[in-house]
Amino acid sequence: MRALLDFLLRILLSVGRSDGDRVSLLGDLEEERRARLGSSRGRFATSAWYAAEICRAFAWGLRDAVATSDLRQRRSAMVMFSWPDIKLGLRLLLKNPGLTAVSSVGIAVGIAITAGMFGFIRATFAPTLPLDEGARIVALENWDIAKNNENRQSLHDFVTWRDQMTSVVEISAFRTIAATMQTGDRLPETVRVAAMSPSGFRVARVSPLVGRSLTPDDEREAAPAVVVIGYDVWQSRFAQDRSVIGQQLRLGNTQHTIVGVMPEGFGFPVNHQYWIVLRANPSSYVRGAGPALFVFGRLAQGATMASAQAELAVIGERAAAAFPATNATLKPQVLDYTKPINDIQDTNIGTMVMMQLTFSLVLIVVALNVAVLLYARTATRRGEIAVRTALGASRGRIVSQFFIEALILALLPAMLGLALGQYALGIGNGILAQELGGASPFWLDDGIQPSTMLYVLGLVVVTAAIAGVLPALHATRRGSGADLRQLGGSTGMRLGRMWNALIIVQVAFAVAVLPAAIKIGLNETRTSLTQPNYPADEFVGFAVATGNEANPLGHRLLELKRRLQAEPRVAGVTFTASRPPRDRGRIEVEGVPVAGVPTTTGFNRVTTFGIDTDFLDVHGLRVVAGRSFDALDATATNKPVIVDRSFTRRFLHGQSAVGRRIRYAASTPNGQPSPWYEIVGVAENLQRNPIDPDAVSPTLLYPVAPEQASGIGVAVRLRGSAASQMDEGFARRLHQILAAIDPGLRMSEIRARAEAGGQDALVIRLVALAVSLVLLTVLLFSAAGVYSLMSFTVAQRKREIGIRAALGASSLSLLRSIFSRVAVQVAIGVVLGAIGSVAIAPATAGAALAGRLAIVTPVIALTMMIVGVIAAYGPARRSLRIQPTEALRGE
Amino acid sequence: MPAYLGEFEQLVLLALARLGEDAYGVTIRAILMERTKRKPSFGAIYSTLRRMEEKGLVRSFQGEPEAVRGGRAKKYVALTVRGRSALREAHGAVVRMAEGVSL
Repeated sequence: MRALLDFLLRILLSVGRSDGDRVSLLGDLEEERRARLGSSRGRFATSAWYAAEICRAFAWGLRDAVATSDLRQRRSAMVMFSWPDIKLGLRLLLKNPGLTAVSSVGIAVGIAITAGMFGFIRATFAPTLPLDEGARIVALENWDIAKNNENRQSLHDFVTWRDQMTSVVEISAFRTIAATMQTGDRLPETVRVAAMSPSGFRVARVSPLVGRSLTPDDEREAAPAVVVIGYDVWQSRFAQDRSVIGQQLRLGNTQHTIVGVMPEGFGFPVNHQYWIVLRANPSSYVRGAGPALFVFGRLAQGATMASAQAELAVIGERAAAAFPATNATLKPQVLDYTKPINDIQDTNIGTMVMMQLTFSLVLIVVALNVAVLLYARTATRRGEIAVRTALGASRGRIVSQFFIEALILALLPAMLGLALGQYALGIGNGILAQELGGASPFWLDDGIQPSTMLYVLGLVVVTAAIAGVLPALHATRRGSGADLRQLGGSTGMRLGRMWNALIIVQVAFAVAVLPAAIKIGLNETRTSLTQPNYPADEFVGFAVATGNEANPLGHRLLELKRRLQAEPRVAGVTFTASRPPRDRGRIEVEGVPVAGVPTTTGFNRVTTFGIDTDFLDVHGLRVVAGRSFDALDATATNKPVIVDRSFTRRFLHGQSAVGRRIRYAASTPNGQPSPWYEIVGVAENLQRNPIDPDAVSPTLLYPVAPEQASGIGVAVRLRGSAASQMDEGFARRLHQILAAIDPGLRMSEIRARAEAGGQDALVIRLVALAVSLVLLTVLLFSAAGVYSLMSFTVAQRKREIGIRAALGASSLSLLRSIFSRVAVQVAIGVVLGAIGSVAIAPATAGAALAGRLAIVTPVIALTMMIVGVIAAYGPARRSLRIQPTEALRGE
Repeated sequence: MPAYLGEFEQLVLLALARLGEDAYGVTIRAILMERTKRKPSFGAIYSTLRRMEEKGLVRSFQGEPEAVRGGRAKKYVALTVRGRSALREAHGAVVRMAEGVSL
């Protein structure tokens, strides 16, 4: 970050200054800054002063550059800051509103995509930890080369690393525990607690705001249980009461004493607000067993990632030799702190750059499209170019003017795009936070990062260079015939091979990519309309877990059901549980060849889960054939399942399903298929879609005895709308019931089913919106590009057409000759596009030419053809009306 | 052609005359702040110095890089003969104009 900032400063301070001046100015600023920090002035005040000085220095440099701008003496300053060029650029924006609008939409969408991705990639792959020397905090992790995956059950190795490593110090570990937290008589809630080594606080180098953090004393077996809480909890639960120290807080079944409060924004190690001591005694576990730990530390003074890796590798080899049974395939590695948390251990800077370059290509395509549009406009300004050349303007001067114009065209949409990208990034961060338990990691910053702004600035310059400089270079090249005759109205400019090729590429691109994109967009839109086929607004849902797979819920669940059903506003209670883990992939139907059963992809993706015997009744879903589950089904040897209508239609072609057997095929050539399941009933669809029944995913239901599971989803149907009854009183009642059964049970947030579904739908709609936006842009560009180049080409042939008309050629034959050229160009584009769409079909799962969407390709081809004809028609008609004398005057 | 000086240019030249061999950005700014009670920015000082150097009123030379400056060298500035005479002229003009005027 520091390097980036320096780079930015160098750019700012170099305006209007020599290198020597810039260096000594930076030196003066640094000297003064240090003096200020050494005096009583605060860090913040010094930073503010520094920023203000930089801005003022930039303004002075700019003033100097403009004041001394003289074409003969300081051409570069003139090029950068010529006010007339800027004014001309602004005027042209207003003069061609259509071109401005099309280009702006394209650039805004292009920048939004690339800047959003840049922000996302940066935040995910190379975030800056906002801690003192955050870049020196590293993660240590065992990589299992046999399984090609991380191995976090590294308690014994953690102790070895902590005791032996010298290049990484303060080695600590943490694990996240979900626990039910309660203070006083407030409503209990499930929270994420960091069980962390006390040295973890020393790694973070952040002191508590109130009280103390964890100490090695707290690690003793006999030490009382203590907890450090975060600022947000302190604020929301304790109203920032400083006497909170010493108060009791229950986590699960254990009372903890609050000993400290961490400052605002502190979420180390990830997004935690509760910290307790990690108690993991290696003597209690055999090597390779024990809790999954995340190990981290700080690089020692003078150590680097490479030296730490070298030291750790040696320790790892010793462990492999000493404990071959557990450590032979383990390679310990030193990683950037966030990589194991984001599960991106195997990515490096090269992958990141490649990803970013790929996304940057989107903008390059946009820039090329804008270049096509600007080219046609440039052609109409040949007279102006000729005048400027005659008055002594060099080619560089003219090209730089076009560059400035393109820069102005790109700047405003770029800002809009940046805002859009930031908005999308905010949504992405929100989704990530949901996955991480509700809060963003402490290193994620929602604000626009300087690096993102710098990147966008770079993109704007590249876009302007492509869109402005390319056409200008072409228009001003030697022998292009720029002379003052062009003032008479003829453009004289010939459309080279490159631009003819661009029309063809434009059409080909639209034909190749749009059908697949339209299909994806439509699918997303259709999916967003899918709704539950039962009164979802009467349901509330929450999850209950014991937190230990070896500890099933047993009678506690039956008790929970009994107590909930006794509540006056509860109309019904039922449970769901997850499906058997290996049941995924292709479905086989007994007696039907594998090829005769569709694959479970796209809308055929099967939703499967285990249900309680009364699940269908409580949801008001009828069994249309066969029977519902009974109490014995969970253990029956024929493994009964119930499918919905959508399933029978998709996989059994609507034939009678009851009595047939299905299974999941082996996912690997040597793998085992799942056991056979017998369909005992067909239920109504669990979902419905008002416009397309195919958008409803098929469902397969297993019988489970929920009391045998360690974690289940509870669906409670209320009498009337759930949302209106989701008050704190109801939530408290549920917590009370659960706590009365077993305070150790964990319970997730209680949410109205409709509300939970609404959030998913929002994400889907946003994706649909983004896809539609990109689609619209591509279509807009293709049409506008074809239109402007076609009309330009025909306008160029005005004189030729006029002369031919004067010589007696019929209008029909002339029009035929014009349109045949248009038709040939569009036709070549369509053919190439069709070939392209076949080529990309595998990548889009056959979307390009599949099913009803096959009609899209000809429609787009036709659209392009019509656009081409409309574009050619106007100029052609004008040419036909031209008088022969007028046509010959130019000669 | 004689060089006419602006007010801030005069102040900067006077600062150089006072500082002698130790005149560079930080000391120039410090003495201006101390004696004029203004807070000129470094940008303004550098722009003024550059302008006066182009007119031949001051000359500059690089010092050694220093750690306290983040490893960057100082740019020392000194009055030239032409600068000193322009300063004398400007000061004289102000004194002559002010003669007999009650302020």
